[in-house]
Amino acid sequence: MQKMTQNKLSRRDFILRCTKAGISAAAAAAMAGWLYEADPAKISPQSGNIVEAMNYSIPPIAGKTMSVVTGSNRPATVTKAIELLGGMERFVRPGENVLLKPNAGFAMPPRICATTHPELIAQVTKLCFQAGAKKVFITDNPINDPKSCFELSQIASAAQKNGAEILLPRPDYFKPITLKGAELINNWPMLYAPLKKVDKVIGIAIVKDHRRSIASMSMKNWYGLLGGNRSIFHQDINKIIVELAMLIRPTLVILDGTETMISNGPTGGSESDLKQTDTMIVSCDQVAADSFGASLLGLKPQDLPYLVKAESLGLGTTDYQSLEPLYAQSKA
Amino acid sequence: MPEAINRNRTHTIISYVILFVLIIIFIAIITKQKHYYVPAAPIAEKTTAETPKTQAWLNPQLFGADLEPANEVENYNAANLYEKIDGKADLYLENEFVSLQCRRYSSKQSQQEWAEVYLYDMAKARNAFAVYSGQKRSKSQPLGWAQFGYKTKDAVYSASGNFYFEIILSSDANQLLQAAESAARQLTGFASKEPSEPFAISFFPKDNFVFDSLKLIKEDAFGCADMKNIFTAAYSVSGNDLTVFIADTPDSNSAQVLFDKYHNFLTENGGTEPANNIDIPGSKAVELFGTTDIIFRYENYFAGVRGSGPIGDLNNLAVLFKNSLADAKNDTK
Amino acid sequence: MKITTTRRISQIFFFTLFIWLCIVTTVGQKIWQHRGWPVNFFLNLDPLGAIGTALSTHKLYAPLLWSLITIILTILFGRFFCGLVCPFGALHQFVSHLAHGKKKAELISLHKYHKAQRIKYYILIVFLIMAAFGGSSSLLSGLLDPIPLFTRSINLLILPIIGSSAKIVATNRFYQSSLLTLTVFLTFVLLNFYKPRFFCLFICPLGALFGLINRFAILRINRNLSNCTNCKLCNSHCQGSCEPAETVKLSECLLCFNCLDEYGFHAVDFSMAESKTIQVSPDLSRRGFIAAAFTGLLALPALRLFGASYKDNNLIRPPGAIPEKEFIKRCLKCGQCMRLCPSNVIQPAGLEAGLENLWTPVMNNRIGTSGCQLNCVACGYICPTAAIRPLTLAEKLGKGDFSGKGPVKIGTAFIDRSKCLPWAYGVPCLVCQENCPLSPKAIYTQPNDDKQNETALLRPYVNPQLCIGCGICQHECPVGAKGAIIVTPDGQSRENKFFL
Repeated sequence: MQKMTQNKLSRRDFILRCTKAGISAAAAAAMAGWLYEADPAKISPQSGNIVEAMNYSIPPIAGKTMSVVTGSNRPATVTKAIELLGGMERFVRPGENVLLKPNAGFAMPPRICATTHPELIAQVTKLCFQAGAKKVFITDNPINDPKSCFELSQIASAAQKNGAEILLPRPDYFKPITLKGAELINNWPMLYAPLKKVDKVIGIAIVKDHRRSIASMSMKNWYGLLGGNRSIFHQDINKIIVELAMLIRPTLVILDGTETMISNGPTGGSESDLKQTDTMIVSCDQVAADSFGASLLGLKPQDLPYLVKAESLGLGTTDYQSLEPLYAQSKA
Repeated sequence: MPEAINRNRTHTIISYVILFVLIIIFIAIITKQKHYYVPAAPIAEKTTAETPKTQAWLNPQLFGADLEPANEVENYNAANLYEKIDGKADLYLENEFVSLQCRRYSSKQSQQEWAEVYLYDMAKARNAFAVYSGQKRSKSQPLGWAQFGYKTKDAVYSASGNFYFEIILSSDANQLLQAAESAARQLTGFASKEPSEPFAISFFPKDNFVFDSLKLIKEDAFGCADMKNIFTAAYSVSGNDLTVFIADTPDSNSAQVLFDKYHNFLTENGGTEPANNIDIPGSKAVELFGTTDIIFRYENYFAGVRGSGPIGDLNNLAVLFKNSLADAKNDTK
Repeated sequence: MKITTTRRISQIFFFTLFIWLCIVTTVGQKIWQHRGWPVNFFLNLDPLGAIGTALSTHKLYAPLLWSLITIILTILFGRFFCGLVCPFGALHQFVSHLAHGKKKAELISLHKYHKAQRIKYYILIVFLIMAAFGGSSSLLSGLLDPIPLFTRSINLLILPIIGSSAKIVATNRFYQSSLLTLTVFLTFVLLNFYKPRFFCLFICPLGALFGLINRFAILRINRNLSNCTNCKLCNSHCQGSCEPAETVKLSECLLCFNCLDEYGFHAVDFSMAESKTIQVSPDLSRRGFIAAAFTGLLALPALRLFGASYKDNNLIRPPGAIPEKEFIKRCLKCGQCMRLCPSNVIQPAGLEAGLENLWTPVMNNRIGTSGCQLNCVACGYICPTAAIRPLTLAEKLGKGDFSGKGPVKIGTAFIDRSKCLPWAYGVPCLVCQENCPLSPKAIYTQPNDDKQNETALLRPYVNPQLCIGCGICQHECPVGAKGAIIVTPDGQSRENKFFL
């Protein structure tokens, strides 16, 4: 008898063991029940991120929608142009974060005018801070290597000297977005994170000739927010430009027509591709801005199908005259 | 030892419990294997609401006592015709195909001996003729009793009224072929009772007609690019081969246009116009490279006779043709 | 009745059941075909698949709930699955039995516990960490989990070989990457010659999982010290190398019961007895654990470094496959879909897209009897984890309730005009167009413009809006190598991205 009891489990230990076993089993069952899913369709997250327009625009004031300043000094013309529309204080409130979206698409020096001029970046940054902006971000998803693009175009140094922060397009900044009502921006990776961080978005583009879309100006500038294998959109370039304009309603667009690239765009490559047109366009209506910009390339708005389509969708007007743009000259 | 017995008993109990569980699992699995999901049959497109009456033609008695139906009648419409006849579907679809009924009949003795009937409803007699003549097999023999029909070693093909049908056999056994021919006769009987618009061929004169020489030339007839959808028939007159042809067009103007185009084609290529007395108003005769064409227009038909024989023969045939046309037209008025 | 006898019966039962279920995994309604046989019986009972997918997708797919039974029974009674159920284990035990002699002294040293038996726990940890790795995790447990491993070895190797050499099947089955499958399988089987149940002791992550959760087992092997004469004979047939003669390592005990009934001393028992001679926790060192965790964290990004992972995917998956990022979190690499596919077009991928995609299903249109058959939805119904989800025919074809959405596309066909016979050589062919199963067809023809030919040569064109990527055209193309009409994964509907 003694031999047996030596090995036999005491009642207390037995209960303890059973309880531990029971609790583990129950925990496993509970976990299973909590995570249980019978419908295979529901197991993966829905391909979501359906967004409506990202609207950064401010209430319009009649007669103060668009301004055009002639002159060859970019900082001077842009300051004057923004002043005419009410000054940067109208657009940027104190404490706000601003995103500047330049064209930093190519690793080329500023004199080629394939990228937004660093002087322009510097001046706009300064104006933003003067109006009380807390932070100024600059981003783009270029075609060439991002770091080289920002460096060679000197946008990086312009930013650094004036306190703006460059956001290089890191993979985790992209998110697949579906724009409601769009065909092409459907589950497509967009440079989403910088857009979410800010209160105001200012597009700073240049007037360029472009083979596929005929011209590359402020509306085409948003192409730089697309990720993924975006070259596929060249099959229907007008539609993607329009959908981008549906997605982003910027606070302001600045269209730099100081030196227009009239041939071999959008990369240019030689100063003979440039024409000194000395015009700076600032507008709350990007369709109107581009319509005016078209004239610098010797084109009419009707020559650009995306402008016509954008207008028909109510994204702006090609009849910029009706906005009563303010004209000025800058002698600086 | 008592412990040992206890142990053994415990072990035995555990063993039986395990075996019991195994048996339960076995039974459960055997039960489960009987219930299964069969992915739904291909989504059937909504075919015509009523079963086509032609389905009744493929009745069990079609082949008499020799063969009995081996399956139900299969129905196909334009949407799923490919599923049955794959690449050949194009020919039918281009010719206003309506529906296809198929049925296989096999011998009572042996499933290996069978005949499969394909019955195509082509909406119009001219379409049935078009698909019939568009895939004429070589090494065939005309069915003497049918207007359009021929047989090969192991099949029978025929068009009647708005219908075209094929009976394909599993072998070239003579019995099978005979059974098929009698089935074809029955089907011809059914088909001819259906209303059917006569088309150009009905107007061809009967005399000297070379049996089963009817053809439909879709385009580039006689070398002329404008000559499309021309029905032709061969005639043998005094040892010469003559061709009678006709094209139906929507109206008199179109017929005249075609007439002029063909006439120009002949004269521009060097044809000469011999003097000709023929009792058809507006007709022309052109001779080119040894062949003479006598062409005329009657109402909305453009027609003619061509060949290398004496012009008198050609004229006679042409007049015969035109009269035949006029009669038929008058009959239908 | 001896428990060992029952154990043997149980092993034979489950082994036979396993092989039978693999055999019947073919489309059809005869008794030797799929019908309602629960062919995923073992995969559903396998808790590693359930836990792995729960970690990676935060959801437990319904059929995997069966594994809860296995877990609860293991918590209550120990590693019964290893000793009584696992068919791979049964195979190893059988081979070991044949491989080794009967001398007692030899056997005792052969079955000694070895510290390397810890490795399987580290392997388990690496897999679990990779599965839990946040948004871009990956389920690699299928590589070494015994049930998927044995399933695919039978499905993709043994059965095709037997089928073709014994001329049992009407059409032979072919599977690429067979050398890898063979090597892995054969290595583990042959390692039994070195150490019995080598795989079970050193590698098996499922066994490791069980070893971690059996610590509260109510019944357990234990040694009655007063009866024991220290002869060590109970070690001689211990399958788990858990050394009942010394301190029983409970985490290693496979419940083979060989130690119990051997020699009449009745010192070893399977009971509720307390024992001071049981070591409950597995022999993991803290350092080892951390090293394993670290490896797991590093392994996944390392595997993806060469860029050929889901982002730049070049793989065409079967219809019903979920978007790639999610797919790789769920595929167990069990090979069931490949076995079931009636046209033998679903193939196991090799290493071309990285270790993550090894043995996952891809379409290879040049192997098999035809491309993906239009009216077949078999693969989705057999996938145990819904990595390929079940489609209704209506959804696959874009008809009925799914009329507006279009059919499921797995890719798009491209004609290589430098190889296609009518295009490159002016030779008539139109096999691709003839075989396109769609109505209207996605391949259309136009005569070439050369008016000098008397009969216009028809040349094929693909309509990418209609093409579903089934690959029948590529299969039928008479041109060699990959053919002159090639399906690429572009435009697949599961990724829902603009293509053409």
